[in-house]
Amino acid sequence: MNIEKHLKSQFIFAFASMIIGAIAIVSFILLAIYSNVKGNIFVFTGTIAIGFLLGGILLVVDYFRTSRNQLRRKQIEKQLEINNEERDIFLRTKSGNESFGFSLWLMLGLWMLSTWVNMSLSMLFPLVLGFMFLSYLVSMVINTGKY
Amino acid sequence: MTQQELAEKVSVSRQTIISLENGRYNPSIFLAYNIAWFFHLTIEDVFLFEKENKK
Repeated sequence: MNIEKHLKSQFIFAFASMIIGAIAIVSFILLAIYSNVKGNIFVFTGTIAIGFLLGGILLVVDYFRTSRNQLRRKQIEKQLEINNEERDIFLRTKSGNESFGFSLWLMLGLWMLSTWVNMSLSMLFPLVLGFMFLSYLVSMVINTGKY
Repeated sequence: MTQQELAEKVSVSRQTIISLENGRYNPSIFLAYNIAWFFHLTIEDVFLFEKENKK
């Protein structure tokens, strides 16, 4: 992927993030005004709203900064080269597959233990996500040494 | 020629060249062709195909 393509996709991604953020903000306001539910869904919507909107704005700022700054363009080009390097892609894909598999096993294990381990869905979600992230990092370290 | 120089010529990282030399990583056909082309050799001259040791 060349730098122009990368910048274009970054701009589209930023725009999409801001739209999701805007929808989440509207939902958040509607929830705050009309709904009596102020539990996890309230926090979740608020986090999505702030995260996506802030992320989108930062990406747009970065887009304009990169478009004008030649030094930054060179840095991005170098980074793209590293990211598109075939062994790196192989390691990322393998680690991603492994961590996904481990997470499925974790969910299966928790399901089998559900008689004894009482866990709500709102607790399971961050647990699996956190486990997925950690197992990805561990797989990445192991695979980097192995291959 | 250093590993870094070869890596830059075939557009990969030095770590990839190290892994290839140690036989830990199997290159794509594109990278194998690039390396062979760089040394003016054929792929069979540079890489050994081991049917039994497929990773």
